[in-house]
Amino acid sequence: MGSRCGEGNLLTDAEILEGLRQAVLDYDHEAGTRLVRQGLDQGIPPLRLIDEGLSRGIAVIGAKFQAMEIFLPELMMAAKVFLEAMKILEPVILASGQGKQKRGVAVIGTVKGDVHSIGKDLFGTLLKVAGFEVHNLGVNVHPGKFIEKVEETGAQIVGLSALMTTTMPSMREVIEFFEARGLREKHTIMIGGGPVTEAYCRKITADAYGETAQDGVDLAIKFVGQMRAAGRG
Amino acid sequence: MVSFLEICRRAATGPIVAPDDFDMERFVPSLRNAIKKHGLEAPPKDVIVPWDDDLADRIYLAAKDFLVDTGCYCPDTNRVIVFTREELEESIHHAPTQCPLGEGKEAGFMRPRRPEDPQIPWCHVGGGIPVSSDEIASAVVEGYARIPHADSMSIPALTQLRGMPVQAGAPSEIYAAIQSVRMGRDSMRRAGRPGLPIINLLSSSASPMGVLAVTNREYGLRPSDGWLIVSLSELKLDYNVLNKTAAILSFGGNVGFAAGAIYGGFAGGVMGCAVLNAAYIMVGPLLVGATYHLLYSLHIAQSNSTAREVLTSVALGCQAVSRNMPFPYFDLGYTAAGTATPQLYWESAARIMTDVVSGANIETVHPAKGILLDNYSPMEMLFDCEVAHAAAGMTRRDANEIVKALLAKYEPHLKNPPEGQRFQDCFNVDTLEPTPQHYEVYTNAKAELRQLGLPLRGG
Repeated sequence: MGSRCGEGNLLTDAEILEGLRQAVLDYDHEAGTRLVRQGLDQGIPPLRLIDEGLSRGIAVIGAKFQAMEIFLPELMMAAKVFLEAMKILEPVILASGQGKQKRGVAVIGTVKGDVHSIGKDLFGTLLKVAGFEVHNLGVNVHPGKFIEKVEETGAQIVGLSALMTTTMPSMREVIEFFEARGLREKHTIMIGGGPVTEAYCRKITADAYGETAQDGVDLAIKFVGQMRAAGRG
Repeated sequence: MVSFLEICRRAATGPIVAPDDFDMERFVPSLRNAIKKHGLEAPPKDVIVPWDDDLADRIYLAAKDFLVDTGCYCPDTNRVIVFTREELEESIHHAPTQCPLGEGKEAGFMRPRRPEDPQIPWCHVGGGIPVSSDEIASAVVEGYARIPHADSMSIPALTQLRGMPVQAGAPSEIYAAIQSVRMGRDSMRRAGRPGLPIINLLSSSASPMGVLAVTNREYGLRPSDGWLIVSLSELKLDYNVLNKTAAILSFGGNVGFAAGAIYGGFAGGVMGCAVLNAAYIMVGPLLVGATYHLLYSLHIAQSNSTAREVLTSVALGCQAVSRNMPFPYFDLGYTAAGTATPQLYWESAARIMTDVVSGANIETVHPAKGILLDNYSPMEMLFDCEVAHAAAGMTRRDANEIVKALLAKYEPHLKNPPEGQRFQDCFNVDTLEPTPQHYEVYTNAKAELRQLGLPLRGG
């Protein structure tokens, strides 16, 4: 199917989808939003614009970043293309009622006493691109704030970051807060950050440790799937 | 000269910029512009330790341009601390050319070096690696202090205090800060070297309160120690850092600025990290009145600093500064492999040789990315110092050949490195002697390095 767009350029559906993939690869958020509007105008379903256009570009970007063929700025620019396009697509999806279900809801933050943010922010961006609703609480977050936000949003995933050995105990403290409120079993608590290890994850009874931001995203997807299957998500 | 109080004023009154905009709209474009303006291109992949002086000098110029265009970000105020080219030039001109450290017979000066300099590098021994108990910490530090090459010390990070986890912001942090310094001094005294300077400030505490807690001369640090100020990545100084600096400068301590580029992060690849590494070393005197710098650069995905690209970007950043600014600094590397493994020695030798021939002083490398409990050994610290002494005066071309050979051994294993052993598993904690197996790994590594052409002394 093809039609004439507002600027007089005739693009087929396939060209629009390929254009969206390429816009992500070119870090061109203006092209991304323009093509999304064109696609919607000519009746391409929003989920198709995401799955067959934007997401394919993001998959390539993710692989390139893991191979260190591109770096954090490029990753952030590609994510911006995706997220700007989603600002247009999400209301359309909601209004249509066909609703692509969110992958999940996550609350993330750097724990009390720690002000490092790069790894945590990267994790948040990748989660968003993977389809999660993400609530980033920032740095130096008191355990009670995680509880408040989780109760407010119904998040399944709680992501805790620390970059110092002296702030790692604050991760355990967050878990204790969840236990004390009887919320522990309802949520998956994931941890990450420079000094954090798998062994520490086991020691403080967190649910998962992500060595890299992408590991964390993969784990979050896996856990949300498990929680849904168990009727907890 | 711009005073530290003026830096604080600019942190409170500078241009307001959103955090993401500082990274993506200011830091990244400025760095890329500087790289483009000076025509910086990464060397071929088989040149790990470059020897191109013109390239090093252009990196130095690019670092200045980048700093002046970017400034430094204060996340607490969302403002940029801006400074002019003249202010940066003036701070470079007046930067200390040596840093006095230590007391009594251990007193000395950390001095700047030049690439291929025959001057023996300052050897900073130890690490802020977490330890499980005071007993282990005490034994490890005594082991460090027995290393005759050691010019200064780092004290480990205590993780518990009488069974209570040491936690940032809690009283346990304050007690751990005091305890770690007192324990460190006692250990150095047992080794007969009570005047050795401690120059990592506190691994057990990162807060301004922790710093204030150890300014008491009776049981704390001395002005002749090194007071390390660790910045946030990239090019960010928050009020925690500025508050600590205010206290240390008032106390008269040596401020060491600690920062290094994250490879793959906002600085991007080899050339971006080279420019940023040079920028970090040169900007410490302006921002925090630094009298020395600790460079530590890491790979964003692997968290080590022995990956090929990290070695090259650190080499270039060091050469840029060492050729143009006589300011004392040292470099710290993190290995992927853990203690008492052959791979640790290969990685360590590559890191240390790269530093020394590029004009840096050294800190002994941190095994297993510095994160595994009790994962370090004085044998490896001794090895690092021996490599540093042997590499002094070597040409960068010759060092490059050895580093290439070492990389060929360890590069395939960086993503799945061996964890190695704990101190108490490879050392007798009572006698401070290594196990025969551990000693054999050390002597084998030295033999391999000699075969590759490094003139190591001793057994």
